[in-house]
Amino acid sequence: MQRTIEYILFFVLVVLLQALFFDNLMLSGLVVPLYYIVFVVLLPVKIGRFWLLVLGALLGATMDVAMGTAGLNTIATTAVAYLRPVAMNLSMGKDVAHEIIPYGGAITRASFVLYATMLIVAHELIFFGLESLGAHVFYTLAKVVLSSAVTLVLTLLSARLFRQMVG
Amino acid sequence: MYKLILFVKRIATPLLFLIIEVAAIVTYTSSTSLTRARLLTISNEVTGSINSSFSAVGDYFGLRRENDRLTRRIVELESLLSEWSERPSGVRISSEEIAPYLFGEARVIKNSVFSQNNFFTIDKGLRDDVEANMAVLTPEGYVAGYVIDCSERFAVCMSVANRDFTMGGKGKGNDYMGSVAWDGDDYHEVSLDNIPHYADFAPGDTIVSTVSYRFPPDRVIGYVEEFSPSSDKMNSHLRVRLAADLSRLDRVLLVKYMDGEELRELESKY
Repeated sequence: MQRTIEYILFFVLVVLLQALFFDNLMLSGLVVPLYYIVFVVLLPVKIGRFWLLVLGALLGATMDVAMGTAGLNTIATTAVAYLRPVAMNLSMGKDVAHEIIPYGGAITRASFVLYATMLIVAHELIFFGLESLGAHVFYTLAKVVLSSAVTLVLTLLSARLFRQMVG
Repeated sequence: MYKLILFVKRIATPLLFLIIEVAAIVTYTSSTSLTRARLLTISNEVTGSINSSFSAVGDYFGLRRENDRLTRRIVELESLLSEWSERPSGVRISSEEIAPYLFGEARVIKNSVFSQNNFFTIDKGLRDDVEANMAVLTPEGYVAGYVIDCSERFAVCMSVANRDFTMGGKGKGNDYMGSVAWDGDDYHEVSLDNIPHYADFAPGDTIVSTVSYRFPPDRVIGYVEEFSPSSDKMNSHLRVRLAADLSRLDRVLLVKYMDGEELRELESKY
């Protein structure tokens, strides 16, 4: 895998940011950003499906311990890792063929936003859907929409920084 | 044989996906509040000290509010104390009576209110003699939760705003009892269920704790917001506005009922 050390540091940084900052934010019940999914979004383009799945599950399990959710993060994050190749094909198509990370270069901003939105919304939908188990449907949907919007903005900022640092 | 290897290679990833998802779903659905609290206890080993220094910085911004609160509480306690000293001596039931409740204080270093199963973490643990089932009250004496799991330096507490939280509650003055539970919606509100249909409540009435192995009696839980008398002569239902602001927990009181373990053991037999 390319840039292993950079990605290990990125993993640690993302987990700490989520556990120490975003989980303590408590802005409103409607804005609960699950920022850490940015790690799956930005994993290398050419990573194998197997490793994608393993790293997604590892990230989810780590967040489960940090947030005390006992499986919920793993369910959502593994599903997103499994769906990532599909989302990438749908949004970027052949643009990504010569890129290392799925941001910048030949990839248009619109296609990155589409790609990231698909993953982020899927993640938050699974997470909050399972957490509320069908209770308070409209409240949960509003939570998914608003939290996804905040996560998307954070993801765009992180992607730009990550691209500059890792190239 | 070659075809078999190809086949295995092709289904390896979807198979791994299924295995991970099934394992995670089984873990999640079979997890209880205790499992979740255990996980938080583990993560506190890493993030606990960082969270506690963050909250130390945050302390400076709440000093004024904290001072006002303390002064009000001192006034309250002073007036209680003066009542006590005016009482004639010798009214004790037993000469060997000791205080059945021990009090301690702690600081909340991590809190959550927007999940379905909310917990908060305090900066005291086993080495400070904190143990499971101690009651957690706000400095004003309002019910906030109870300790569920401890590590050496920290303890994880179940917030009243947790779907697994339950305790006994009764009307202050009329003593009609029911059980307090949170429905997972708004962390300012709980419900009081299983109260007898002939019990009468009015909005604004105070709901206090009943004696249990976790909570001391007569601590304010909240105030009646809406009373819906039963239509079928069964049980009535109350919506109660919590007295404690769970999103702003900072300093808290810990209460240990000295006879709690005995009570719990006796009750668990029946």
